[in-house]
Amino acid sequence: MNRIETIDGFRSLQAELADSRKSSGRTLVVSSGTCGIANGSRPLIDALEKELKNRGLADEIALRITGCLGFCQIEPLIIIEPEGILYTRATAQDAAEIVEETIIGKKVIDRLLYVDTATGTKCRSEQDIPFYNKQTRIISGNNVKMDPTRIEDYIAIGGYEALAKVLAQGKPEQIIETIKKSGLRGRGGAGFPAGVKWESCRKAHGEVKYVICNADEGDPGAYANRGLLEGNPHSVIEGMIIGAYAVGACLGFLYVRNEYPLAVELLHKAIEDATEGGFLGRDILGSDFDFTISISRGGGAFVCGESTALMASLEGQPGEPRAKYIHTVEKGAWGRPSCLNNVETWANVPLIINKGIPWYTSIGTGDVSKDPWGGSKGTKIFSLVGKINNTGLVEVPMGISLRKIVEDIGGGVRGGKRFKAIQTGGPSGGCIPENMLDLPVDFDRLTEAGSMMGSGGMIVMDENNCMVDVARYFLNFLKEESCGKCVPCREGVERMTEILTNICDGKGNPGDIELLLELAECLRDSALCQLGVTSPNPVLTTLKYFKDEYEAHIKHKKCPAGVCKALITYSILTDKCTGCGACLKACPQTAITGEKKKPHMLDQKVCIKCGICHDTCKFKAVAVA
Amino acid sequence: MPKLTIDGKPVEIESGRTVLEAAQKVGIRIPTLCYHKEVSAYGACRICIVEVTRGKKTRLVTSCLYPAEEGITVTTNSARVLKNRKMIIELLLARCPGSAVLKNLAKEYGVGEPRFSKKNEKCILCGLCVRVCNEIVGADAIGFGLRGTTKRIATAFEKPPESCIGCGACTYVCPTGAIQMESVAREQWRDKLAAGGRECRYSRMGLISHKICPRSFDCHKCDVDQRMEIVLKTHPILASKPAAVKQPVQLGEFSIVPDLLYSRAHMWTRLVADDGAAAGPSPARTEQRKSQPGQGQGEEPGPAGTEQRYAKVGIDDFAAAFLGEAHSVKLPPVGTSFKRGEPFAEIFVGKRSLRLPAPATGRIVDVNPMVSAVPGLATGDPYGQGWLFIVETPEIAKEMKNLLPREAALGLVRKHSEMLHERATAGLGVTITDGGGNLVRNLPEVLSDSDWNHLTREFFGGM
Ligand SMILES: Cc1cc2nc3c(=O)[nH]c(=O)nc-3n(C[C@H](O)[C@H](O)[C@H](O)COP(=O)(O)O)c2cc1C
Ligand code: FES
Repeated sequence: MNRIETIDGFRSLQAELADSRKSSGRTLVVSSGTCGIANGSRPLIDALEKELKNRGLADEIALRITGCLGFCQIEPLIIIEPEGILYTRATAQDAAEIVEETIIGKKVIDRLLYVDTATGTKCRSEQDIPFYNKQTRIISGNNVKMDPTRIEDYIAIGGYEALAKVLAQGKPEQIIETIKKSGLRGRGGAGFPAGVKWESCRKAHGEVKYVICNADEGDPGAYANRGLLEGNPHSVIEGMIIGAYAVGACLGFLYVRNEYPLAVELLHKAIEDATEGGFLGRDILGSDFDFTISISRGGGAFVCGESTALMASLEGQPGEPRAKYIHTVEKGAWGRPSCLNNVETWANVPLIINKGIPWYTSIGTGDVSKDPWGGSKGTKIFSLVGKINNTGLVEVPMGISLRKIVEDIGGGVRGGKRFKAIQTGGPSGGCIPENMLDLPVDFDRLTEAGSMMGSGGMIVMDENNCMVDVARYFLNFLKEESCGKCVPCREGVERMTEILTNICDGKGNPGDIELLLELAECLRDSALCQLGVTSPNPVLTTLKYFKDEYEAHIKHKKCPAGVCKALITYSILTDKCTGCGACLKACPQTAITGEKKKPHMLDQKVCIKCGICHDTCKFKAVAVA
Repeated sequence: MPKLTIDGKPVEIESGRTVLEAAQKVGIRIPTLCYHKEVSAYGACRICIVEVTRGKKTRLVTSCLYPAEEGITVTTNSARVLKNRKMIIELLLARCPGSAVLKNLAKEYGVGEPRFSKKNEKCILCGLCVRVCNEIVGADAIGFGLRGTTKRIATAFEKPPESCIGCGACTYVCPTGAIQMESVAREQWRDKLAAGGRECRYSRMGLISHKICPRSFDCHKCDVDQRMEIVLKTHPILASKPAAVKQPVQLGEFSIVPDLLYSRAHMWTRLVADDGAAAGPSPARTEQRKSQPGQGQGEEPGPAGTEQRYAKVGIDDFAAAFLGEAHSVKLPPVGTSFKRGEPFAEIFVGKRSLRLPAPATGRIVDVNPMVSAVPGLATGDPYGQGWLFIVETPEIAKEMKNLLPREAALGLVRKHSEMLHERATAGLGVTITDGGGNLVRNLPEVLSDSDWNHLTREFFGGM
């Protein structure tokens, strides 16, 4: 692309690209983000390309390779535009049939349609799928419209329009005012109002300032940021450019974890294209504003997502947090005023500039017209995972109830099991029980419930999850990911893990719960960074909502969910066992013996309590106690 | 001077100090473990927590880091502070049950037998040894290894560190006696010193004249060692603080980083390791790995005559302040050779431009792409992100002799600064200082042609 020298030049290019997009004919969209690639999108794309070429359709039918479309479980998806027919999990073997039947014959291939788990109905297009039509995809909905490697696609659907708009106005303070009034709050964890942060950074003393994008996304099970970076990298970049203009920064850093190789590759390409096109570099779009972005790859330490640790890591120092008595907007990376925001926060910025405050504030909760802390506006993308029918990235308006996310979008708990809890906010979030499912999801309500928004992980748990074990799992994660600098976190989290492990191993003592609470209080009060301060959350919420499970473990040496191995035994119910032999074959320890058609026996001395027999038995003849 | 209240006592202390320092000033004792007044505060042990009320908000903070601000109220021993401090002591005592310091603290605060299993470590990971070695000695021989519960003090690649000068400052500051002058390190000097004689560590540090060690480096048995500590009331290296000079020196409104070499035309030069230059096309990456000069880590200006052949070059803060904000920077392409004194880079500000003479003879091997993209960096962050290029200089030792070290560079800036301010008061029809006597930021705009020519020749013409 030629470098765009003026705002008018940009507008005419945009009109041109938008026109040519409208007049383009049919398009085959294939999703190929990390999830799509893992499920074989690349051979599928090759096969489709070959098929189109062989039939001489290569010029007539466009092929658009997009990032992840959110429904990771059934990707790669194929969408045929303009009809909107959607196929799931197609493979290279299906390519010929798709071209033959659907492209040429205009017929729908029934076999490749999505079948809704809850209703069993076949869905022809995205609009028919409950997983999609119950969401509000104002940010992630753009992924389907563009090839992330083509800046032209982004411009054609209105990309960089917001940048042109703010540069034409030339009033950085006004951008800050808009962001403040929109009520946009940081999507990376604490929900700090972005406009307030930008304002302090603008006012901070210093000529060199930085904007930084936090794409470290270290929470286990969370990958919402990856979906955006891979599907729509330019939206994040545009947000950063606007932010830099607003705060007066000349350099930007994108801190991406190295485990996201595709995102890194696409971001490099996007920055290159944006620089070539005149959206980055000197005199952006003919204004006197200069800004560049450089990519920095993180080693994947969870703690490096914390703002000060991230900045230390950016500087090439060990990724350890420091006290924030002087804020990073005043002294951040290299001691300069630095404005750090999450990937999703940045991606919201162009949208707000383009669509305006009234539109944006119409989505969400509370009133932010006077106080940017007054509510939660816009949408939030969650990675919905765990024991749920539909796993994937879901974008919902703030204030939606947990129940709607779990039941309507997620399609309920997998395998007809009973819902037990939903864990939000990453490892230092909390578990919310069934009777609180109607809780509206926004920053403040989640915090009130003892959990938090975090960077958008949501893990669904069913009756087969032991809540003590869950707390132990998260504390163990935090123990391993603590940087080890401050005493309460390094030693305290380890001791909490130790106590929880003892409880799970049947070695719990009376007084353990009190000691856990005491440690939790010390961590909350005196740990250096938020990793330590929030680390007791998994324990505190499970203690608050599932105290009976702790007591069963400690007092009665029982694990009600049948998870903690030291506390359970498997046995075969002779009256139910049909002697089919399935468990006998499946048992890795050959602990099960018996003749065909006669009740089998389980030798407790050999049994390692792996539970395979229980999962294998079709007659519910293996009991856990 | 901020005024604050600590445990009901009013305290007044110069700004920029911490709550801990303010407390010490009025004789209030706050326990510390990871703090030492000669090195930067780290905030890791959390034993020094206090309760601070600022406005309506009360919270726990570490006093060794929290700034002594106007109007705050500090409580050093509230119930909340004590409760947390006791738990921290208990946790540390479970880690290091043998430590005398911790046992004393436990006694003082009434902490009994820890309720956790004992670990029998000696080190509490306060990191004092690391900071002393890095910030004071400048040897960087030890650092932290690993993370979380496995974190420990380690040397690079777990090998005896070559940069260790055996000064023993780490053992001196260690609060728990976990780090000792051990035989491995001793053996290592012995090997190294075999030819040059068994030289005493203080003589190696340049603190006493030449002395041979008669005791196999069992320093704690040595009179010299003992005397040193008695005379100085501290470890000699802490008293000498050689690395402390690395902080930028403020000369009026100009900040000068002392451990760089300067040309008479206000350009700084710093030797960089070969790999720094060879990392090549992505100086962006190079920049992230290496932080600003003056932060005392990474590329040191090694003694002239070593293997290094590459030097990083930028303008100093005097030039940056004189220019205001660069609008464009023109650098010759990679591969260009030039002689010392030859004009080679051009910085544009408004209608004016300034050509800068090369500080050394050599060939450009890398230019900073960020500066071409964002020219304001060259003047806004002259010692950091605003470096200009890397030059390869075959006879680097000779070239570097032409440059000005610390004192001479400071002298030059002082002289030029005085000249500039004289001009300002001489009333040449223009105002080049603001109300506070500081230089205005748009000098190139306000100076007349003849003044501009005269001053630039004076300041940037010499070699
Ligand atoms: C242990 C820890 C890990 C964090 N990880 C992330 C992360 O992966 N991504 C992120 O955006 N923010 C993370 N944060 C939050 C950041 O510190 C910071 O608040 C955020 O990036 C600011 O951006 P926002 O205001 O847009 O949310 C983490 C915080 C802590 C304490
Ligand atoms: S002395 Fe302040 S945290 Fe260690």
